[in-house]
Amino acid sequence: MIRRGDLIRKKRGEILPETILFIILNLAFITILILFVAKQSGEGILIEQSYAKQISLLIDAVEPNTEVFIDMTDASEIDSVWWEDNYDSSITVDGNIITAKFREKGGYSYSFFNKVVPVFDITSEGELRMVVRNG
Amino acid sequence: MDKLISIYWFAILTIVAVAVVYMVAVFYSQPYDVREVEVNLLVNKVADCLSRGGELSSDLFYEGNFNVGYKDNFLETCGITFNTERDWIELQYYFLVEFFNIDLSDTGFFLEEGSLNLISSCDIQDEGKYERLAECVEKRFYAVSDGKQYLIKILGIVRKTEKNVN
Repeated sequence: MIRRGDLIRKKRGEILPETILFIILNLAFITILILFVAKQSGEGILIEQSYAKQISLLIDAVEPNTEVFIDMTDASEIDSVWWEDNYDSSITVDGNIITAKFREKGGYSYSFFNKVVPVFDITSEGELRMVVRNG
Repeated sequence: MDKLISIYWFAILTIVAVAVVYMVAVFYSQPYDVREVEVNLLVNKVADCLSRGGELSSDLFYEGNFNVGYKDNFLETCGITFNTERDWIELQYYFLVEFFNIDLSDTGFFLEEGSLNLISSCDIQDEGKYERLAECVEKRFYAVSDGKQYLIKILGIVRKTEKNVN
């Protein structure tokens, strides 16, 4: 004789693992998508481009002898091993061309039109101090 | 188990994944377009060089008339350089400064630097499909010199398309 409780137990036993597996797979799918989007948004080339352009525009905007501080913590997190050895040369200037490089195989350049000489001082924590001198 | 192996569910997941990857790739492959800011800075720089506190620079005049020789060394005087980071065939900047009397009659004096070829971009840039062309900005202001008022129009253009638009 089959009792009612046995039926319920049996039914639960069939449905529960299937549903849980279904939910887990869906969550895994969504997680992978979110991680993909997060990885794309934090890519080095985007951050390099952003800082190269920001710094160039700042140089064009400010008066000579202006001191500017920029927080580049996110740049220091792209390739922390590379950053430890090269943070002081992560932002360089060649004539009127700024280059931001935060990883081994990276680098993005953008030019400014002001005839000035920017001087950079970068800490290992990612704080940039820039002084724009007369050219 | 039907749900898991359902071809329809797999198809939906695939479509969603492809759509997300495509949208993200398209969005993040677009470079930041900073030309509008840059051309405004250029125009402001030229304006600041010509006039401080509403008074035109005395270097612009010679014996009561506009100093034509001022044109020759304008970029150097203002501390502007048009060098760029890539070996483009033509210069990526242009500006034109025109001086008018207060009654809007032309003084005949103007300053011009950069690539003339960029001017044609300004006429058609308003239409969206031409966003790959150069970015143009025109500004105007009044200034005085020896009690005489002038209207100064500055047209600034920055191209640099390859670095700002895909």
